Amino acid sequence: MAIGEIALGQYVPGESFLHRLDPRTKIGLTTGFVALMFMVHTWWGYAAGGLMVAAGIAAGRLSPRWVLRGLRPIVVLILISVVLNAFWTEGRTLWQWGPLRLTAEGLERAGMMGLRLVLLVAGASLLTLTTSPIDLTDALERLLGPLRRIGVPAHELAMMMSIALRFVPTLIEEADRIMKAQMARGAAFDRGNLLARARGLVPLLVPLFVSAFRRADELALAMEARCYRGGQGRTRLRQLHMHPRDWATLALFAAGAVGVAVWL
Amino acid sequence: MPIAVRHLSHVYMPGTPMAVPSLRDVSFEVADGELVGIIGPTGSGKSTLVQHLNGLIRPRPGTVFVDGQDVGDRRTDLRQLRLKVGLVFQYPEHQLFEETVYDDVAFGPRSMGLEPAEVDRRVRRAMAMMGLDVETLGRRSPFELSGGQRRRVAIAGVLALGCSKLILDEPTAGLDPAGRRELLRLLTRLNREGMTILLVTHDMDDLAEVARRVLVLSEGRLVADAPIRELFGQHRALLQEHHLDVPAAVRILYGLRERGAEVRLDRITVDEVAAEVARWWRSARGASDGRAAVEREGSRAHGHRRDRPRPVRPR
Repeated sequence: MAIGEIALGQYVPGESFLHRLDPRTKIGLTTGFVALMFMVHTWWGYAAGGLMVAAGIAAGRLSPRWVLRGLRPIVVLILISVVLNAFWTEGRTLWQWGPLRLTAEGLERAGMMGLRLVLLVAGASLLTLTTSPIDLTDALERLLGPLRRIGVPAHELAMMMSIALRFVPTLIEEADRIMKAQMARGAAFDRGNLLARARGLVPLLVPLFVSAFRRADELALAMEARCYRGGQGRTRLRQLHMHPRDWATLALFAAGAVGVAVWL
Repeated sequence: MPIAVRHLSHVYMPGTPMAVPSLRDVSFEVADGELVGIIGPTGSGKSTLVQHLNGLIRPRPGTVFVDGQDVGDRRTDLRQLRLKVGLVFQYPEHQLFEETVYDDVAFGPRSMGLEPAEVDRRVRRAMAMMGLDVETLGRRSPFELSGGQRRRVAIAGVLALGCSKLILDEPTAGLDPAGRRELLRLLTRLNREGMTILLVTHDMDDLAEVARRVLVLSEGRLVADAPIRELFGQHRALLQEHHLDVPAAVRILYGLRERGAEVRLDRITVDEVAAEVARWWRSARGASDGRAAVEREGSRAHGHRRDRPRPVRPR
């Protein structure tokens, strides 16, 4: 069953430079990188982006295979956008077959579009590969902190995120089990037309929701039993600290990004 | 040949660093009408094994035959197979979803596309098999029932498929003693009426009540396949080697035997053990009154660490 293969929390524990950077730094770097990839429109610009990702992979001592794995879910998306761009761009015709017309401009645009998607996802997966979900939500809470004054419930959002992340694998496992159990009593999840399939999901979804609510209930009780009362006045076991290396990395990236944006 | 498993192995997540062999070269057969227990510590591959028996996992490498059908063969209709081999997962009540008990039990037969009259017949039969009354419980929501009733409703939902073989994964886990006894009684009755039953469990006491033969799995290997009396009576060391033990009641017999008492070890249920202890007590006591002696022994054993087994011999 393919459902077991969904990898969301793809964090790879490690002690590399990238792992030890403050998660806020890494969020900043990723945001900057994503913005940059939307600004550049030249091959040289994408080359620079590729260089940054390569530097990140090296600094995170990651196997490129792990980064490529992150691309797997969007392979179809990349292929579709490449094909669409290649055939539906006006320009010099290179090859024609019926209504399908491959143009030189289209090919170039398709290549860039594909490269951009690959770099975006690879860059973002550098963040999730080297940052544990807990660090990530801590950092988000801190970054959203200033918005609390205008009523953004930063702590609650972060708490919800960490709980959601924590329960994704649990629920996947549960869904897998329920699915097997219903198949064992005659359910077919892979038969009939779309409507029949949608109806076929009821025996999966109802028990899944029931169990999710039960888990939520138990978790709430457990949190209350440990005197959880929200973020007000809460101290932390794990403090976030910006080190000189964080500022240095940010500065280096900013300089590089500005350079790429201006000249390439 | 009803169920035949040959050289079955299985690896979880093959090709990744997380790959774990969960079954290694397991072979056994189960004849029609048997009630076989499958025991083993957590992670020994019990659940993986039973999922092979109705094709939820394709056997590779190895083969699984059910009534002569090769489960691994792509041409085998797995849905047909699942009608023959009912599989009840752990905590099956978590899979209930319909508004009424009746509809939930009817889910299987309905998705088989049976006539309403046939569906009704099957629901009534399956609920009766699980000791549930259609008239009083049928219209209620499964979520209103007690834990034990819910579990029986879920099992009835599997039985309604009309299976001739029933596999249950930890069917008594989390039930209260009354619910547990009731379920074991119903399973024994089903088995007497001809149902082949495979019972996966951690609970040796449950097994002692119902099973006649036991398969012991440990780290994916089948380490024993023996009649239950032989296993509990002669192979305690093997069980302990695999972090298992004989039922609590049987441990009493072993304890008495260690102290030199002449008790038989192949008595396995609580009732049998009680009868055996009583028999030994009467015969050993002979003419004189041994109660005082044993009470003395008992209080001494309580105060000391047991360095070596001491004979308990009523004088």
